[in-house]
Amino acid sequence: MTLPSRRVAITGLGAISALGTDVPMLWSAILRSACGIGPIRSIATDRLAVRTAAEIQGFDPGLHFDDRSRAALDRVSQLALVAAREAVAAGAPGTEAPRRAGVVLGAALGQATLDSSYRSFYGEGAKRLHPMTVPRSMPSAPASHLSIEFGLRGPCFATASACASSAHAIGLAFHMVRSGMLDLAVTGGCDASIQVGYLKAWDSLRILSPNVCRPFSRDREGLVIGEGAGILVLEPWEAARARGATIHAELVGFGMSADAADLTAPSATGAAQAMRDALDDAGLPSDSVDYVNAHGTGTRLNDKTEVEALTQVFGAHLKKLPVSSSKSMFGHCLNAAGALELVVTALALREGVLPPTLGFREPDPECAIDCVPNQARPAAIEVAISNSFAFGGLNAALVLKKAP
Amino acid sequence: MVNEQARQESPATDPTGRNPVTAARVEEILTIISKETGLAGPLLALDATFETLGIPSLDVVQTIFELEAHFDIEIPVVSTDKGSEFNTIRDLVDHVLMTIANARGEAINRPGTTA
Repeated sequence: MTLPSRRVAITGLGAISALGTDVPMLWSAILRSACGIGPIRSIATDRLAVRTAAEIQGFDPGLHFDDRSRAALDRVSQLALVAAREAVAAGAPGTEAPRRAGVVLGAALGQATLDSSYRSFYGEGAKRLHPMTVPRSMPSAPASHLSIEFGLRGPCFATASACASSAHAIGLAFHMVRSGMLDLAVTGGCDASIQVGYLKAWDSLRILSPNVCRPFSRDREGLVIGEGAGILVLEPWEAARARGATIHAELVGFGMSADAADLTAPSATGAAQAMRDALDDAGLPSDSVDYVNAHGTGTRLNDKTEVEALTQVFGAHLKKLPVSSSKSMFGHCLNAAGALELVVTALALREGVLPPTLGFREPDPECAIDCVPNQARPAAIEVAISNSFAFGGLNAALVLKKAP
Repeated sequence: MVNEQARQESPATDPTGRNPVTAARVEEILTIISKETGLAGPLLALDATFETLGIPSLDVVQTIFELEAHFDIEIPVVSTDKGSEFNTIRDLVDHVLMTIANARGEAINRPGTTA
């Protein structure tokens, strides 16, 4: 039996993060090796142990949404819409969406809505809660808002796999376009978790860095929470070519796996399996990979386990394989991480530049890789892989190819 | 189609015209409905239905939330076997007037009562 198999083009990119409110700002920050991490300014930090995050600067919701629509939009949906408008404006095949057009996003709670409503109910004894509390905070709300905004009437849903959520979403959307189930997919993820109650819960895990994020550096102290959204438009390759669309990169492989081991500690075997499956899905040998955009959280355990997994998959090829972590620049954007990092990976291929790992000070014998330390650098790369490894042992890897 | 008996028993109608407090409250309620639905006051005839005015159910819920805040009351859910709690603007206004009166310990000024 042969399933229809179509090549899949990325024809639209949108991003908002601590590195800026659109893709040109993101890319310019990467070229400058700028860091979006700093002291938290958007919330009260007096009860937090760690007071560092990668917050979006210069985002004024009032410039994007009128008061009436804002009443229905948690910050997380606002970020999704801003990134999606950028991606779709650049990538949509006309005013009328194809009949089989859909949305697959990483699931993302409306944390601002939940935090403020619990505070007012338990903390301030509020007699009533805002009637939009439920529809604003449901984890599929951002997906629904994109479907409504662009009139996309095909499959629309959100995937939940913690910090791999948006990578799983993109992988599913990719397979749906490849198999003919969708002719247009708006996919990616969003996250707006810089809220007092949620960050307090992160404090308790004892894996947050008090200052900067230094993935793969011997003196790394942990991860930094970020916020943002990354959205991609996927289309069948031939249709995109036929209408003369700009193709940023080709999505060629997706692999996923579960560690079936520990709820928080990662496993090299599970991570390696996701990368191998993604390469098999792409029909590419491991030595064809020119760049890895790592999960690279900057925790002691993740980085050494990820390097162990990379060693299992790439063997001797790892010696000349650059591996960098964009979380050192825009933080760990949780449900949006996989999507923002895939946007970065697509740009790296398109522009022929390796994004850096910032904060690097000292080589770690347990992370003996070229992590593109501190400075972006030009490189002609053809194939790249983007990793996402989540709490719960849920892994995803996506393989991109440079568009000719 | 207006139910004539219901209209006459409606506190909002205040047929005696002698209760300025009720009349003022009706105006306050209509002002909030107008603000939340984006419909100009003159369109909000008491016997107009939410359906014909094209007011989505979520806007009704939002309006009730604002009315609760404005009058510092909790507006109970009206149990109904119909599709929605309130058919006409009058239904909502009456329910709010009753709720305010109950909360303030006031008697309801109905036609035929001696309030």
